[in-house]
Amino acid sequence: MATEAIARPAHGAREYTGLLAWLLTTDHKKIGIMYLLFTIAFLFVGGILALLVRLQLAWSNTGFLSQEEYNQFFTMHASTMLFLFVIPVGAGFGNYLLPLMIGAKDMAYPRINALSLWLIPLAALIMFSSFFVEGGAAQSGWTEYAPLTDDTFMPGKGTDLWILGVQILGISSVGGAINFLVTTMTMRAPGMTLSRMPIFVWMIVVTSVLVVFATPVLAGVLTMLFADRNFGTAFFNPREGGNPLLYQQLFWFYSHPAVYIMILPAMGIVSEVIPVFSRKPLFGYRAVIYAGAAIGVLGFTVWMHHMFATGLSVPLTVWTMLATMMIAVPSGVKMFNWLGTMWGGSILMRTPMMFAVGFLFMFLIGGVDGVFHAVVPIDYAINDTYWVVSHIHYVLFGGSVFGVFAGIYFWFPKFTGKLLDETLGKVHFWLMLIGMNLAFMPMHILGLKGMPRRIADYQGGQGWEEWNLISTIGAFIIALSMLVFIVNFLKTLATAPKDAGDDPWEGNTLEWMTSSPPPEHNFHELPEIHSERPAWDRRVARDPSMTPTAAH
Amino acid sequence: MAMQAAALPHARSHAEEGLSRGMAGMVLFIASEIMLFGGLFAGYFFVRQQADTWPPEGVEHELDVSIAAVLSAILISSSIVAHIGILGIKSNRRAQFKLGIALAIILGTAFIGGQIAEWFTLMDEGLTAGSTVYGSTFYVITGFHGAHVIAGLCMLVVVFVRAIWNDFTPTRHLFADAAVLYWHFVDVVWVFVFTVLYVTPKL
Repeated sequence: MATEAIARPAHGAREYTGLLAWLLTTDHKKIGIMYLLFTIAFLFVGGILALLVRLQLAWSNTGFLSQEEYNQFFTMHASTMLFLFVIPVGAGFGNYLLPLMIGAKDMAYPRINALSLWLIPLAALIMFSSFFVEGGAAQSGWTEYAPLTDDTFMPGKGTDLWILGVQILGISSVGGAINFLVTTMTMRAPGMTLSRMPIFVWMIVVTSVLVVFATPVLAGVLTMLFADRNFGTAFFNPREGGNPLLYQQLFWFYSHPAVYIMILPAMGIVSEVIPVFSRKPLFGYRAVIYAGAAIGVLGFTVWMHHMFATGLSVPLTVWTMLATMMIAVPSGVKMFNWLGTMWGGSILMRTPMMFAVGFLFMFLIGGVDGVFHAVVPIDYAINDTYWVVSHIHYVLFGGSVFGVFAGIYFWFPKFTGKLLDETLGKVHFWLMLIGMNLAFMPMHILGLKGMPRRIADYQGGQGWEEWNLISTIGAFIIALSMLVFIVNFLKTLATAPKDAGDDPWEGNTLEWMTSSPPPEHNFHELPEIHSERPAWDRRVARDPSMTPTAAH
Repeated sequence: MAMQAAALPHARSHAEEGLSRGMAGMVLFIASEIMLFGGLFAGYFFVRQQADTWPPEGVEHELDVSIAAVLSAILISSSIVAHIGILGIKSNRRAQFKLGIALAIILGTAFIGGQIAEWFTLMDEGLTAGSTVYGSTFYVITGFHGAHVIAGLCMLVVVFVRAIWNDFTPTRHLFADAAVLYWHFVDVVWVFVFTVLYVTPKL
């Protein structure tokens, strides 16, 4: 086989070595890996904040944290997890994988890509530094609702630093999203038509569209909040003709689509993992794409379901309720696509597959929860209780985090050439699954028993204590599972042989047809692409005894 | 082996036709900017529809439509000359290109000067960002727009400098195209700002 490397363009860039090769790189693979390292580190930071929150609530009157500390920790837990972990981690996978999966050499704008990456630690530095300013970090919850965040109630600079950090992350996201869209539009390899793109690429495309159209609105509303706090404007001040509900309207116009920004990349990962370990093509390739797009479109119409308790007009309430329930339909379609893929397959229960199946079960619980509080009368009852906390953790931890770990175990051999340890991986999975259900299932009951979210302390004798204690124990089991992952990660990097090969799982998509890790220009030669499973096609071509399965 | 036939250079990946890579990015960037201004205008309409009168009670001041109309004329002409400049580079009339861009920069700067003068006059007369939500929306929306005009001017200055260096050719002038497209966008936003903030309260 001719393996002569395609001559790289001489762009006159100097070759750096060592640390500089990483700091100054514009290579999408190095940038993707740094995205993943930063965001996983923020997952651990956010996790430590969560443990502090859970310790405080383990039983009534623990006296472990002051109210101000508690407010800072739960606010920064959510802000870290949402803005510094779950949103950029999708961009991290996208960065590494999207160009490989469509047979491109790099992203469309490599330098903007590097900028998007480095804005993330800058924003993190700004947000975390707020712990050390007078008045401490932001304390009003990750939603930062006006008028709670008015300068009379929150005079400290923590809220301003929070706004600054989130604005910078918004710039990073929009830059990344434009990069993904243009890369997908203009840099696909010959034969890689839109209807042959891997589902993961499609989900990154839908996510990027959401980012481009939703994130700027957050920038607008946070600018208004910043101006209200610092320049004496009156957007959210009713005495001067402003309205605090305006904050909620604009904030949720961004933040509802944002929950799909957080989950769609994980759905993309799961859609890649399940077919590989079921040894079958994805059941209903087009249906998964259309369902993802439908989720994206509907996601823009339902933001007011976060505001039922604010007294919206009846037509708006009814529309929002129905549209919200409608989102369950495309989500359900995807669920059946994944189940249909596994149905009748010869399933290999390797670690990535276990996390993917865990995703299905946990996301299902979170999704069913969501339909419950889409119903307005039920929402009135459980609004602002622990039920809501339970729902978002089933969707974002049970969904996104399981998806992220499915992706890490799945593509780690591509990133490094080494396979993560299977036994430790399975221990990680089971601890995480048990821990999350212990931590978050009791929150349903707490919510129904009326425990409000975001309270620093509670009185005993209301039937809340046992469930809170169980939840705290669950949180520490999750922490233990993360330690197992760290051990596995470090041990594999330090001691495992580099023997994963190009394609350890018998994958379907283009990234498995180059070396592990891939060369700087990704492919020595591009394979022919005749379907959405080029790697499978090549295996069938090489081994005629394999029966080709129909692609659709 | 069959794969050798497919070993095509990456540069020949398809979808090269149609929107170029650089313009696609600019179009998406403008789309996100439209959403930014969309959010600001949504906020404006939200507070305006709940007010009994607009400007609200207690705000004596009214915005001067005639000055804003002059500013609009200045900005629209700068868009037109920038477009004439682009037509110039496309047909290799370099003087027309340089002159068009230079005039666009001068007119854009005049617009910003006029806007700043208007801000100072209004503040002297007592309309500030704190004069009810009316002042807040006015200064934030025009301020955001002004910042975008300045960003557009910076791009045009780069285009002009590169034009002097003869960096562009009739077939390769992507940056000029993208910058002028952005300039048109800033102009269109102003038409909305003018119509909504200045004209509609008088109707």
